Amino acid sequence: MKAGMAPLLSIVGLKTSFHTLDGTITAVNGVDFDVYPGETLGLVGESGCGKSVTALSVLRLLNPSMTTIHGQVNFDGKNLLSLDPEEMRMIRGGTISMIFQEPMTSLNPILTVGEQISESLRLHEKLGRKKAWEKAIQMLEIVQIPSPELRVGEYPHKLSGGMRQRVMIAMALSCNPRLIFADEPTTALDVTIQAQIIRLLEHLKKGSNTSIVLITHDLGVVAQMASRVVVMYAGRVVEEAPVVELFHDARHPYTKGLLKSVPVLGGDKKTRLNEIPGIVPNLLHMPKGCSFHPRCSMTMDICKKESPSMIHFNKNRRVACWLATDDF
Amino acid sequence: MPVLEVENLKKYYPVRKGFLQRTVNHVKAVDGVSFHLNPGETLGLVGESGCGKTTVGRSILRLTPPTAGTVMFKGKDLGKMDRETLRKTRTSLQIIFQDPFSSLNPRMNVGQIIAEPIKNFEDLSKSKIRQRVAKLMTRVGLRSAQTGRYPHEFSGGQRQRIGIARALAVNPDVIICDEAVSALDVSIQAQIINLLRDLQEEMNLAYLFIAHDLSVVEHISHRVAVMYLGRIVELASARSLYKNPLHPYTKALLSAVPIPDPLVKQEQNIVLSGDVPSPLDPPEGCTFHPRCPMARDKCRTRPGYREIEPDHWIACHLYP
Amino acid sequence: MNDIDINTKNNDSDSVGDIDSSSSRGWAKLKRNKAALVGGIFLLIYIVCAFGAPVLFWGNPSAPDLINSLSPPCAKYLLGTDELGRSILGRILYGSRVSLMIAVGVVGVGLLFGVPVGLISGYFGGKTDFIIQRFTDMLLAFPGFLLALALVAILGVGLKNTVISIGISMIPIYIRLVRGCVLTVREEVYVEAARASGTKDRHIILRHILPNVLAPIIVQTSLGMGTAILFAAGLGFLGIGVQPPTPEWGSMLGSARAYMMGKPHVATFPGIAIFLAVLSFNLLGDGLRDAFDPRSKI
Repeated sequence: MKAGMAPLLSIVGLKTSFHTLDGTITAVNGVDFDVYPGETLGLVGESGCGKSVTALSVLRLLNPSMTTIHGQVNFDGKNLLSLDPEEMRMIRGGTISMIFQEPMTSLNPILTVGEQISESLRLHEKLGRKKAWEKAIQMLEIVQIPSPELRVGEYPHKLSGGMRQRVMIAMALSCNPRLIFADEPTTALDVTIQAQIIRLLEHLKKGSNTSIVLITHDLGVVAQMASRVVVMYAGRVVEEAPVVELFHDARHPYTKGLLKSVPVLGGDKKTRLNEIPGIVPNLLHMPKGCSFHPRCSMTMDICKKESPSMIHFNKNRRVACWLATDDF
Repeated sequence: MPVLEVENLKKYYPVRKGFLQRTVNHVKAVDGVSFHLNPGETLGLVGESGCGKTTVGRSILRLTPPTAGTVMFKGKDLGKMDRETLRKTRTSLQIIFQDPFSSLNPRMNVGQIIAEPIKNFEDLSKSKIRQRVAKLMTRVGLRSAQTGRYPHEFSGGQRQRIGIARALAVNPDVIICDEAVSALDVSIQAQIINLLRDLQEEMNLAYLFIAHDLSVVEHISHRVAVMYLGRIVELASARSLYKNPLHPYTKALLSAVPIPDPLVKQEQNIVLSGDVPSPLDPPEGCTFHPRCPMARDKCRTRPGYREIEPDHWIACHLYP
Repeated sequence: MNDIDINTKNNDSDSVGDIDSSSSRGWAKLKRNKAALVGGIFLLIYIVCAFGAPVLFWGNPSAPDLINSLSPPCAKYLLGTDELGRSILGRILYGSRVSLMIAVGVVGVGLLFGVPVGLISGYFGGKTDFIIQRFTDMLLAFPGFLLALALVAILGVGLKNTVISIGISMIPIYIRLVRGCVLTVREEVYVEAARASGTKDRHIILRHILPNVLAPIIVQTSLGMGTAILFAAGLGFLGIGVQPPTPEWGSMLGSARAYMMGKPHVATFPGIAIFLAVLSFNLLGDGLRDAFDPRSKI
């Protein structure tokens, strides 16, 4: 991103396979990307494209008996995939944390909000019981929960969806992480609450050097929050670009199609929405060649035979498409 | 003449407490909603979760009996029909559900699912039914060779097509689309929206399109009603609602939608503070007043629901 | 949390061979479960014994041979003889027919009454449900065996009455189970969808609800058969079940009680037969439960 800056997280050739009764499915198939300090990277794609699995693989939150992960995840000079479980546990929730989509199921219903926030503070920051509790109140204040000293003793079910998501954010931020994976952080929320959370995240980002990987299918949220975007389709990265370039000069037919298929407020109502025909391929029966070719409007012969390699235009602009050439 | 007229529809759920299960309070899920739907028209019904929009749909179909109010279908009161007449009227009033996974019986194949409503109302031979099913499947973009397959063999978008075919099977006049595209990915959502629009033109269907996504509703609807805590706060043509929103809630809702263009920075948007109050204990008067940036003393009384411009209805004290 | 839908099939590529259903997935899971497999094998042996008893044992299992009474296992009598010199092997083989008949009969009675009543109670709810539930509460307040015992006291002894008594004691279990499942399925959107498309209640129950509550019923059927054998053996042991000379495991055990000290084989072999039969049904039942449970992914 910024010239000369070393990436905080560098994913190289990540490949995650699940062993299911129906066979082995490769949910993430050779994903590379870097995350730089202080940036918000949008990881975009539709369900099944592997964006969430990528995050879960990096944090090693997948059941090891059912999954195989290959590749490298370099964070802070260490390959996370080769750390022993104990070291990994110290990183999770400490230097790297995660915000989940559904704040109800991700919070423990039988522990109070304060107990849950202070638990990770005591583990990672080695704070005493009382100190951790005070910090928990402070964290709730940071995420703008009204009367935090009262809320800290409440159970998750007493809080609204928006409040729970704020608690999740407070938990994620409590140990001063350097990287946060936010998996669909606003998807389960209503628009007015979503606007509050987006504003909160933006506010918190100012004056901190924490990087965020924003995983979402909502192009509106990406446009408003991310500085750089990686687009995934069927387990692979198909395009990467700075946010403005992606929204105004998309190169991959999938990205273009995706952008045109969203209705825009106040847009032209007469025209039909642009639809991408067909459905996302089943990971068990991947098409040969480029996995997007059965749905692509510009398919050529080569697309059906060989998978396109990634073409790098510059440091943060790349496309995996046979149509893309260096002078495109 | 409108195909559907809803007048002062109310649905209260009793809150029972204690050993004797005495009713101590009511959740006013829908609290006096009125609108009409013309043939071949789409009326969008938007609002945030808990505003009662889904309950409106279900009460109209009497899947849950309304507490008060009338629903007139082509001039006939659904509430005054006996069981059998109501069952027969269901041919004209259909529904498409949000979740394409749970709305199809996992133990029935596609052919059986689509044929069920036909069998309920018509006495046709097996081959006639098979023909009808095949035609419907082709119409909604499925291959008729897939009749023997089970729902889990399809993707979300295809399942939603099955749901649409089931709703179309008995040639309805009105389809209630209850968050029909909300669970779908954007590229698939566009396919389904286009399909619904095409079907509307072909068959002169009227849709009550219930959704929380304002951009989708604005795109597909001719008129839009905005709900907040069980009441309609504003109803207008899609164009004027978007171009000229009057109710402060509508304004906040529209400005909260993230715009998929990084060059449009939404710095000026109105961010509402707080959460939607519980419908168990809604605020006095205008239910929006505790969150309203323009609230005044007068807002502690309930505003009337008036037509302040032709076809522009609003419930707000700011517009006398 | 993870956005993989492993069930999503690509129907656009005409890939054949992807016709799998949740039931075949269940079978695959069942085959992986070793305990269930063992249960299944025992059960198979048991059924072969029941059907093949005349082939496997030529003599008359009820013919006394007083000279050889209480003989320990030997070449002529592989498992020895009882107090009347009857072959224990023969009686166990023929006894398996009786216990299988009881198992099937009892579960049949339970299903025949329990399932429809449970369906009605769960689907319609309200007053009907209230009355049915208080009735089942009442029946369930008795320990199952005690209830069967009381019913035998009223109806009298014999195979038929044994089946009816134990069967009745199982009805409330089925009602409870089916009703519970119906309450969940009733709230499914596809049931609402069926109502919205004008489907009659009868069809909703038969086409939409029953097929979706079958799995737990099958599990309960397997477990119930085990219980039925155990109850029948208990009644037989007390001498108020199936009456001699019909070979029945429980009554064999009952009459062997007197010789337990000196001639343990007389009681041991029927005991093992009961144990294995009940165990096999329970193992299979547990295996089925795991296989049908969508949450288990092993």
